[in-house]
Amino acid sequence: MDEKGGRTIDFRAVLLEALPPGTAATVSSVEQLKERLARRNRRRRRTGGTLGVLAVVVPLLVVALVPFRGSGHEPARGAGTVPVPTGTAYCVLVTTAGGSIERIAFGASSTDATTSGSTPPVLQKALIGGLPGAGAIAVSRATDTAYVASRHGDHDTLTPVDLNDATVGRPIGLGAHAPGPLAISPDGRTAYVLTGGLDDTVLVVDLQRRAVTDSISVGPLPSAIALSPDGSTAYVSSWISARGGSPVPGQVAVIDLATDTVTAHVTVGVGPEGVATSPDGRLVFVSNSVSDTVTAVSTATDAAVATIGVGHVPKAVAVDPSGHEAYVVDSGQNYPGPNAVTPIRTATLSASAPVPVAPYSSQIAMAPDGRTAFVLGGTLGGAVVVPVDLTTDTAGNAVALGPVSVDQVVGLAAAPVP
Amino acid sequence: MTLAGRPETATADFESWYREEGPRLVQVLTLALADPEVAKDSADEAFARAYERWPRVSVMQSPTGWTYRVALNHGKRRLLRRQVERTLLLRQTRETSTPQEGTHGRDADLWAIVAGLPRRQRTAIVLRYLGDFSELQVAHLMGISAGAASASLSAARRRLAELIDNDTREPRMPRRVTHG
Repeated sequence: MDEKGGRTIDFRAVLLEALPPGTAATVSSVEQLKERLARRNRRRRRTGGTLGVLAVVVPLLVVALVPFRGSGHEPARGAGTVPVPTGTAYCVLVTTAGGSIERIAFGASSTDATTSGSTPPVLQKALIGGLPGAGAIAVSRATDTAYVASRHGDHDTLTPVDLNDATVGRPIGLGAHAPGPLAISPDGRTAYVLTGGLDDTVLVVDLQRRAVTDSISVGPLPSAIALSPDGSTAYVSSWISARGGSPVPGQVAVIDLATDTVTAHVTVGVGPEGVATSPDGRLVFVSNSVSDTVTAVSTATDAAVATIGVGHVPKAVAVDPSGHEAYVVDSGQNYPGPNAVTPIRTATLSASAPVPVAPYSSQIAMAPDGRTAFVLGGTLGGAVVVPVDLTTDTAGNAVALGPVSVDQVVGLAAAPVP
Repeated sequence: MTLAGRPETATADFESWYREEGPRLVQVLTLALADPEVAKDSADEAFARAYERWPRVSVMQSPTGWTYRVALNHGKRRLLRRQVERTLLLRQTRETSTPQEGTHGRDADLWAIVAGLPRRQRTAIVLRYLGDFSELQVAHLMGISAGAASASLSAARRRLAELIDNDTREPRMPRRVTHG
C-alpha cells in the first residue's frame, strides 16, 4: 500500500486507529449468543408469532431459488430514440449507479494534430436510457449492441442496448450472482460475465437464446476478464486471497472457450484488477493493484514474461488497437494531483512517463479509430471523461458528464457508429 | 466446513470460526455504521442467526459473506429506524451518517473523519481494508454493482488521503481541502 513519492497511506492502519479502543474485545461469547436466541424465542412464543421467522427465511429462499426472469420487477426504461448527429465518428457510453446510460458523440479527431495533442470534438451528449443498478458495460461491434450488467436488489441482469436506435432492450436474467466485469465474444453471440462474492465463476450467456448456458469455476475472487482477439480464449484475473495479513499473489486463469475449461493458471502480482490482450493475441497485460505493477503474460507459454512498475493502485488496462502500447490507469491517492495513465511499450515492455488525467480515475476505453483513449474520472462534484491522444500521449480537455458524482459512474465503453 | 449432521463437531467448528471472524466483524461494523452500539448489536444478531442455522450456513460457499450481509442489513435497518424515531421525537432531520455523540476512536479526529465519509464510501473502504474483502466481494456484500463498489472505493481512498495529513505517517487533523 505504499505510494510512490514518499507518501504512504496504510488504510488498514488508519481504520484501526479510528476505532474506539477495545472494539474487538467487545465480542460476545457464544453463551451470550445462545442467550440472545433464547430471549428472542421466548418473546416469539409469547407473541405466538412465526411471522418474524418467515420474514427472515422467506426472502432468503426467494433469493436463492427464483432467478430473476428479466421482465419482472424494474423494467428498463428507454429514453426514446436519440439519433446520433451526422459527422459522429464514435460514441463513448457511460453507466451510472443512479441508473442512467449516457452517450457522448464525438466527431473525428483533426488530422493536423501537432505536439499539443488533439481533443476530438464533442457533438452531442444524451441520456439514452435508464437501468436501475447499472454496472459494467461492454460493446459488441459485431451486433452493434452494448450490454450492461446490472444488479437491483438481488435481481441481476444483462441488458442489451441497441446502438442503432439507442433503445434499451429486454434484460436477460442472470440469477443472483452479483455480476461484475464482462466481455463479449467477437462474433457477438456470447457474453462472459464475472460473478462477485460467493461463487467465483464466469457465467456464459448465450445472447441469442438469452440464457445462461454454462458457468466456469475460476480462481477465488475473480476481478477482470479479457478475451483473445479471435475469441478462442478468455483470461480471468483472480485475487486468490484478499484476507489475512500476508499478501498472496493473484492468478490469471486461461480458459479454452471451445470447451469452457481452465487450461492453465498464471501467477501474477498481488491484487490483480485489470486484464487486456494485445491485438495480435500474443500478450496479456494484468494490472496488480496491491503490488503497483503490471505483469505481461506470454500467451505462447502462458507464463509471465515481465513485471513493470506503474502508478499507485493500478486498475483498468487497455491496449491500443495498433498494439504498440498498453495503457494502465492508476486509481490510488496522489494527493493533491490527478491520477495518471502510464503507457507501456509492448515492444520493450517498459513504462513511459505517466500522463496526468483526472482525479479519481478508474476506467479506460479505446476509441474505435485507435487515436484516442478515454479515461473516466472527476470529482465528487462532477465526473468527466478525459481524452488521451495516443499518438502524442497527452491528455486533452476533460468532457463533463453533468452533475453526476464520480463515485456514481460505474461503466465506460467506446462504440463505433453503426 | 463439511459437518452437516454432526452436532458436536459442528459446535466446535462454529466456535473456532466465530473466534476468528467475530472481532473483525465488530470492528468493520463499528466503522461502517459509525455507531459502536448498533454495530455490536448487529454483529450479535448476525452471529446468533448463523449459530441457529449453522448446519446450513456452514456449508454455504461463504458463511462469512452471509454473516456480513445479515449484519450490514440489520445495522442499516436499525439506524434507519432510530433516525425515523429521532425525527419524530425531536423533529430534527439528521443524516444517518452522523457519528454517535460521545464516541471517540483511539484517535478522535480519525473517528470523525471516517464517520464523516458518505455512508456508501465508508462501508466500501472499511469492508475492503478492515474486512479484507476484494472489490467484487465488497460489491456483493453491499448489494451494489462492481463498478459502483470500485468507484466508491476510489472516492473513499482519495477522500481519506485528502483528509489525513500523513507526512509523518501519523494521522492528524484533517487538512483543509477545497474540492471541485
